[in-house]
Amino acid sequence: MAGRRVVITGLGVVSSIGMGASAFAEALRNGRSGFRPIQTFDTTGFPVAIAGEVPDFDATRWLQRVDSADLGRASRFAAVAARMAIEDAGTNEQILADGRCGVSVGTTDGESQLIDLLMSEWVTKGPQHLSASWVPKVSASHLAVAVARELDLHGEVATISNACAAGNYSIGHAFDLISSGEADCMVCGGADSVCRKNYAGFFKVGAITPTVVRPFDLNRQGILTGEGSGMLYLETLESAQQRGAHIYAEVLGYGLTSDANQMVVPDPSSIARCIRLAHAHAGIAPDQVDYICAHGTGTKVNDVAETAALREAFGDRLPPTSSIKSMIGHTMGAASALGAIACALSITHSFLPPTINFETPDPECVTDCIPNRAREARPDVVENHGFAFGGHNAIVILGRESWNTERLH
Amino acid sequence: MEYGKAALNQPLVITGCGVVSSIGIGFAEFARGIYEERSGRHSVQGRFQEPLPFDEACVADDFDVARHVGAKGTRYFDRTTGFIVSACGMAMQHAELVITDDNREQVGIAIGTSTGSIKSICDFTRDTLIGERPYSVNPILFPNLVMNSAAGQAAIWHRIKGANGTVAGGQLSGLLALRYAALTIRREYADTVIAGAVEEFCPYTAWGVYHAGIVRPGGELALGEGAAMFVLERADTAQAAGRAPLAEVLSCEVATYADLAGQAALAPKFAECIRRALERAAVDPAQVWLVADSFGADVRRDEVESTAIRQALGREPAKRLTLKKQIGETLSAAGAFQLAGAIALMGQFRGDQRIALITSIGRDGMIGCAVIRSA
Repeated sequence: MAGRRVVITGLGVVSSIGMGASAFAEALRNGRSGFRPIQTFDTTGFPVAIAGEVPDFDATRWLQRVDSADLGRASRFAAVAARMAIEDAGTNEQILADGRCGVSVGTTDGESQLIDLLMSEWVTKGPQHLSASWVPKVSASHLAVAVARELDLHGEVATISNACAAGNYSIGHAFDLISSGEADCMVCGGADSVCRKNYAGFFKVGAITPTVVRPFDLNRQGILTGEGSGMLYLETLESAQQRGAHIYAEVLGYGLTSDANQMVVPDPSSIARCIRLAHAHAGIAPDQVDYICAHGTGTKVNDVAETAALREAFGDRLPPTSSIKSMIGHTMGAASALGAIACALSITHSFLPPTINFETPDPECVTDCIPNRAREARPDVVENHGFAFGGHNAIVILGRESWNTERLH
Repeated sequence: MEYGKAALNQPLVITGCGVVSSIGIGFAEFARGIYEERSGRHSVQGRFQEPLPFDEACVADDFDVARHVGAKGTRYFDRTTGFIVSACGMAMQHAELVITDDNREQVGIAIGTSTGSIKSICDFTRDTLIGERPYSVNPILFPNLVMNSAAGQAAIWHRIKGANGTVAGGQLSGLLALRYAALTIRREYADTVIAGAVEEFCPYTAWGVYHAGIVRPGGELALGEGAAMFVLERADTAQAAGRAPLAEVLSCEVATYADLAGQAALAPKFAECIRRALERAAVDPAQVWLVADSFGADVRRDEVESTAIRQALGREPAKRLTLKKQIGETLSAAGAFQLAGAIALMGQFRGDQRIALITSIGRDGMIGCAVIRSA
């Protein structure tokens, strides 16, 4: 692709299985499960009330510029993960503040717990008595603004709200801005908090599993919701090399498709087209993909549709494909951002994250889901999936920077 | 397709515009509304079961989803979705853009909205709170809760399969959607993108702007609603398809100074942003004929915007469009409306290439502008 090469040099993670990239990598490697009884909203009346909540989250431990009391839960996640990513990247404040660094944050529900709170006030006290200071924070734009405030960034600040594909969307957008020269560096990723309306909706449509999340398993029964944030610091290869930064991975390209078919049922042919576009934009062939971090929600419908799409795009030989949602649940707008981070970590730390809770193969699902145990491997090219309500698919391809450099020469 | 070969600096043009507004449905009627300086204020008393903090708002009373979109298949559309599906269709019709198997994967959609349909979200949340059980909700309405719902429905309705993005940016949502669309085209993910922004009037937003102090009962500024969508494409795509440009998008720049939100010190930063946009557009400040501003009811923000425009242009522009006087505070949709308004005003002088500057300032120190030239 014509444009500057873009690399990932910083990672920040707020998740139910670990804070920070190192802890997250360890948890993925050990197949840790992050599910616990829901604490952050009232679950009275729900027969099941388990989610991948971030336990004992205290944003004040990380935030340096922004008062966390001023932020909703999702913005806190985003700002904390962004702060971690910047510290991990070791970049200097001058580069950040000169106006050439922007923010893109993906989200499904925005400040959903604030909406829960305000609606609870609406119902009990009436609309005249809402907590006025929270009202303006309901705009999803605050997730990206919170990151910009915390890090003193002055470039384009956008929250991309393509639901459960939003993390990949925001990484792709950041990649485009840097590659085309519109920005020099970007903080990008995704964030969401668990919330009442989302849990109620998924429960009502029968998507919540009464047991554990078992993607690709014959006896899978659905998702559990999760929360957190994954943020990545992207910059040009040139600037990363100049400052001697550790490069996790290179963003090779991404693909987007719209099903234009149905709002919630995944469309295998549209997903397959998305895979092919992502490969074309990244300049790779299917047989070069060493690992796929699946959307892998653990619902009957998704996992079959995703597998069908993989077979359409890859033929009979599918790369190892796992779902980290088995460990952290469906973290909505954060999901594909955390997936991309898992991909970057797989390249740096030479392992493939497992699909935990796996027992019984499903002939309609991927044959190698890296069951239960992480696998030692040295992937050069990895593929990260994100599919959303609305029929929007986003797939990001990451590569080992040294592999790509060699390939280009 | 060989990827990445076309020039990144190809000029982008707008070949169609679709509008749902309180002063008219359809671009032609909206444009007439601007020339005639119509007011979109209507009484909203008794419109909802819930009380409202004010009696009047700039609502798109003439909009009827059954008439403007269709009766079949629109039953569960929320107002945001109805606006977008309709405005997309009108923009396509205006541009004479016909979706076929040959182009449907190369046409994209980019929507600006800060919350999606806040009415769908809040109604659903309320049902979890007052229903017999917390999951006593209507599952058919669940997909309406995602913020990209309107963009997804527009894609389904018009059979558009290319890159489809939704961007939240408060007041800047419209300009961010325009930038997103431009980048989508320049990076060759799509040849044509239908881009714009939306806001719907509902009790939740009404009380929201009341508590946030954005709109005051009896004040000069009313709450507004509507959507404006544009067919944006490379000039060569438009030419090859025989679609005549309404305007050329020369540049669109944004910046964020959260620490300076609401302060006078934001003005020079805003001026710098405008100068950068003019430079990238290769336009001399003296050439700017029209400024379509985002003036509302916040005196300090208006002052920052006004100072920035003066500093960047070195003078008052020949013409000014302050659209909120007519269509109210349309929040996420404001920037898209300003762009539509600028195209409408310039359209009175067809063949005479004029330059317009669209400026936008948000509550959080987000600033942005676009420079366009009429065809």
